Amino acid sequence: MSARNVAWLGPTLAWIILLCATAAVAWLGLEASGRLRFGGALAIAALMLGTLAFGLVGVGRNPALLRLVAGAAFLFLALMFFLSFTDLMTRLR
Amino acid sequence: MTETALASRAPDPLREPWSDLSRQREAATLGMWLFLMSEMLFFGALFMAFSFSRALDPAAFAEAARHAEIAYGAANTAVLVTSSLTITIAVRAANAERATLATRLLAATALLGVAFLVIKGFEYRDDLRNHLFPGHDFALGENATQIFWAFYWAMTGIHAIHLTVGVALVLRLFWLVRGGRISLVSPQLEVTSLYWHLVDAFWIVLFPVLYVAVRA
Repeated sequence: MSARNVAWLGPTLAWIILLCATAAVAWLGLEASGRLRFGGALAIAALMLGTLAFGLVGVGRNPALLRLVAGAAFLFLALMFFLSFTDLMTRLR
Repeated sequence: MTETALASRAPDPLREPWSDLSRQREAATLGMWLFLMSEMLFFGALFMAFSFSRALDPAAFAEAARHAEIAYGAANTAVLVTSSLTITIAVRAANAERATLATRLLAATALLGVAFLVIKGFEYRDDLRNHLFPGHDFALGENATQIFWAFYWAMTGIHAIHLTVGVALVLRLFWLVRGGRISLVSPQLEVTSLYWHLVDAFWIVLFPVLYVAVRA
């Protein structure tokens, strides 16, 4: 492949997946019932984040140090959610 | 002006203290990731507070979310993911020294960002007409519904501010690349695209959470 060629196929594929996922979330909001809507919307959001991260941002191609920093942010977020909801559970009891 | 002429006019992208461009790029990208990490924690705290409040009164949140317009949210999501595609290919075009293509795609990215803000403006106008701003003439009854809408305005407002900054950064890059004032291999393009993707990522979570998941 020439140096002047632009690799567009991978990002375009990721973009199509993101558009389909957007339509799926909108459909869930308009048609689905409560529990399916809640779980489905959050699952699709996670799928979209993964597609964005690996298909468009290219996290997988970054050096290990950058992946570590990104992973640490998600770990801290998960800890924050876990501790907060542990606190909530004890209050509701 | 030809692409080669534009590239030859650009100043050397290498800055002190780095001895080669790949190390400079890695340092710039790492710095941006650290900034993005702090932003993730900031938005994460907002999402956590939202989830916490919703857990205390899910029925009121479901009733309040029913008034959020899914069509606006879906249209804006489509616009923003398209802008992520254009900025990704713009960076790849710049790395392949395709200055004209990179310039056009940067312009398209900025335009899509502005389109998002315009659609959001229409949505805000409808929300205000429907008295969905927390306060004395708020349309819905319960206090918890006001809390939902307080989160809605805060989270979408902060996101819109971030996007406005992103549009300004992309327009600056467009101006620099178009005039040959920046090297096409400058780490600035990659760093700006990372920021743009972060703004997109926040919206990708905001749309399902605010408009769909908690809806009655």
